[in-house]
Amino acid sequence: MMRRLFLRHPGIQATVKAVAFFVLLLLFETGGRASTVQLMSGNRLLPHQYAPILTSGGFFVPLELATLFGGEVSYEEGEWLLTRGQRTARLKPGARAVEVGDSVMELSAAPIEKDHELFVPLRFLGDFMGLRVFWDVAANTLDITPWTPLSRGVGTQRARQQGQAMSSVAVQPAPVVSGAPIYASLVVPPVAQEAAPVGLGEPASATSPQVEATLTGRRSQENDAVDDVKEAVERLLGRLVTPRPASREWSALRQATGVAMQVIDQDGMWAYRLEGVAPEEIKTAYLVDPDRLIVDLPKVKGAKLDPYTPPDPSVRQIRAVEWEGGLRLIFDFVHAVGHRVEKEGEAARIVFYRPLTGVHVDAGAYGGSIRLDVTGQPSYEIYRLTDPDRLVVDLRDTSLVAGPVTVGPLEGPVTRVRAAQNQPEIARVVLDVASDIPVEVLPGEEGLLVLYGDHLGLVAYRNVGPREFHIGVTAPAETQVRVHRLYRPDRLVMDVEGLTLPAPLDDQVFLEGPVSRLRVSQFNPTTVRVVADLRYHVRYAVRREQGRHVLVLEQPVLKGKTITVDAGHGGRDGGAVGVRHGVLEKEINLDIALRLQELLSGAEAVVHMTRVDDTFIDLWARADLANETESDVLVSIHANSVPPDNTSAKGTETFVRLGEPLSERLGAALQSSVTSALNTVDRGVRANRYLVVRRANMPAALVEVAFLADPEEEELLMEPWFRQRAAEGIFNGLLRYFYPEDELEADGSPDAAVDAPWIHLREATAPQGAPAVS
Amino acid sequence: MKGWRIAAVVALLVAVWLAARWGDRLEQQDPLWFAPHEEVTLYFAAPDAIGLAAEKRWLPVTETDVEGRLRALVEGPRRRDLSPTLSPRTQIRGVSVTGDTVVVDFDLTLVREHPGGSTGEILTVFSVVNTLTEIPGIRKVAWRIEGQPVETLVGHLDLTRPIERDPSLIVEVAPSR
Repeated sequence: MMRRLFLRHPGIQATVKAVAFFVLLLLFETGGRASTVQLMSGNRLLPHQYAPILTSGGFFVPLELATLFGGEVSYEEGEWLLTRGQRTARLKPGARAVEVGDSVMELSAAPIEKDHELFVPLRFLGDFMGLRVFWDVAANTLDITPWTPLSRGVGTQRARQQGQAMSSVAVQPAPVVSGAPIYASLVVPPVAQEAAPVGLGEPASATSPQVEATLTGRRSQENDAVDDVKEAVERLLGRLVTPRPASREWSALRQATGVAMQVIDQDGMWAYRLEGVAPEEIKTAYLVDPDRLIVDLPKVKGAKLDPYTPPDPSVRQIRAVEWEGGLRLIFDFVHAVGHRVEKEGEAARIVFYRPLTGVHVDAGAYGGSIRLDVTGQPSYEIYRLTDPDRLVVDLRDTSLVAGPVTVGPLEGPVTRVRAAQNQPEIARVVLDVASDIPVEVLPGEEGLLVLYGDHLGLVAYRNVGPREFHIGVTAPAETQVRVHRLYRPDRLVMDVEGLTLPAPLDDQVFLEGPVSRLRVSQFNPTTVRVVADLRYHVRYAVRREQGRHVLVLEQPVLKGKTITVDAGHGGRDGGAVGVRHGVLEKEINLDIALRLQELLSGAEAVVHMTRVDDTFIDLWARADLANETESDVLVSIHANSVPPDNTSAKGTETFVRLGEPLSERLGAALQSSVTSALNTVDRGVRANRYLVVRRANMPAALVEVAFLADPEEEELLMEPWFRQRAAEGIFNGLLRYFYPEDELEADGSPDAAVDAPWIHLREATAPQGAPAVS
Repeated sequence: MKGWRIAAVVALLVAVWLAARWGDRLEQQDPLWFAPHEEVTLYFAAPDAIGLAAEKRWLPVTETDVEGRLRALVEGPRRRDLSPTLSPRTQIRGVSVTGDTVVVDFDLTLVREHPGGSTGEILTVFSVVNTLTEIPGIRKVAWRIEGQPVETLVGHLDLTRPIERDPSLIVEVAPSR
């Protein structure tokens, strides 16, 4: 009867279905709610299965996420194990204590089990796996990337480059190795004069300007770790691992003469190790037509042997004959190659230089590339010579197998390329330069690539210290550059007219420093637009350096400024209370204030705090402190609230005293920067005659960061990164207040001491559908 | 005469008699209902707490004095899109007027049940001040809690001096139904 009723009456059907739907909905209610935040790594959106959930303890992510970054996850009798290298952490749902190896650490919140998956606090995963988490509030994404030294300040050149190569290759899970390629950048200003023009085919004179401070681009060949890393990359790429060539032996030689010869490949340089022979006992002579090397070992018993073919591609065969009582080895070459004799312990080594078999030039109007076919990665040095203007690349331990090569005349900034054997062990490539250009050497697939001008990549950046950042656009001097500043989000826009992007470029994100992101797009057919999203207020200037337009950004320092920071409420005065979680305003204020103190001290300001812990401070004592310390400004930090019925209030609001232009300017700067940093609703600056800060004798402002009465803002205020950004916003507002002007004072020619390398933005790997940025 | 016309007259007479009887009862229950009324402007919190919105209300003239208006504020707005600015359990301990200043004395509930926040405090204080300064002759409001002068309500406004009206907080809010 019921059934008939159900089937007959569509009204009842609808009701039952609706009720069932809601019941099912309720059943899926879980401990956390899925956030709308997207998880990314680098520029890749991570699969939806790794979506984070937002709980009262912060962001939680599935433990499986660790497997994307080289971690191993397993499950064993109620415990989840996370392994990274040698360390293993054992996690249990509901338990904050985590065993890591022999010790126990405590998480900020207990892991949650959901649908047979373990969710752990994002902070823990990041710390354990060595990941950095970057919250892009504007785009609502969480960017999780392995820690690389890329975005740190300048360290020592070589260590940094090695570090970059190693860490960026070892940890990156994706096939694309993103890390700066190893290169040397020309950093030395042109040398004014030289003793004699160093031409080609002439040995370098003793006075030829071997300038110090050039960089060798090749890491030590004895560094086995690099080979391990290369193997790891190959494995990740799924390709066959190129086996390290086994050293070969000429067994017949040893049997006949007692001298063991081992053939060793040192990254393209072949060495022949003769055991039991001292280098002094070897005499070599190079003959041409055909090219061959005669090696006489008078102290060794001679013998005639069948020719031996080594794995060395430059040597066709080695013949052994008896000569005047001793052993004579004849190396028959495929092409001409230089050599030297070295001592290695009890043995002697004959080392052949790498053959430079080809010089290929691809020259364009604004730049070009020169491919040098050479096995392995030779050490090289680059320097500039003048009269005429030349760029010289010297390749060590390299033999130019053909005779001198000349390519030209060419269009573009390089008019001619010549290559010749400068010294027995140095092959020299000379570029005749018509105009000022950047040049770099990159390891290529079959040798080296010398890139110059716009073939290097149009847009590059360099970190010059923690507060200075340069953006370089390779373009001819005639192109027009315009820079302007925009807000919300704070950014600098650099338009270069008369330039075209050859291909879209990947954005670059920075975890520290004044620039948080760099984006490039073709704004219109003739204008390239570079946008630098700013984390901190900067002043800027444009100058010209070595073929680039350089936008110099400098974050000002607050040296000589005295600032009183007041964390609102405290002690028995708890302030407002969070509507959903009951979080106390006084704690939030203090946390933000302490973070702000750190930022201000880092910028060399003198900071006075009304309180540094949970103590009750008298209302007037706060302004009194500012007065007594003769502070330049007073900033009071609060979290807002409203009567409970009005739960739609959201956003940031700044209060200042009525009728004070400086306070209003301070308030405006703080309000703008904080809303920019937090992406909150801008409730504006409100002037009120009766504000408690009114007893302060200096410009003062009270910042209400967000509303504790709003459940979403309350949860944001509970997040440490949100409070950090609030502090950064206030810090930034103070920078803008004290340094409102845009322009950096022009300080003349670029510092010769700037030796940070330019890092070029890479071409986008995925098609970019984003419209022109602005 | 037709039957229905007689019935109509009788109904009319009955209605008049009923009205008289009920009117009497009504008047006994709420004598103010018939009293002369006056329109007063009360200020409550606007949506999103962006400011104070005016709600005009007809109050009996006996309720349009300071205490009456304060009671109306405590009672809360009639418009659903506005919000009260004082806890409904707030007790008004007393008021007194000296010259152009009115001294209002609230009990501790006002502070204890206040949610805090600069916005919250400003709305509370100025809903009272702007409402009371609508009364001709009143220009300032001095604050007392439990009979004592106070430095502040919840730590953002300095209430040591009498507070003057702040028109900049008043916003227009079109009633939304």
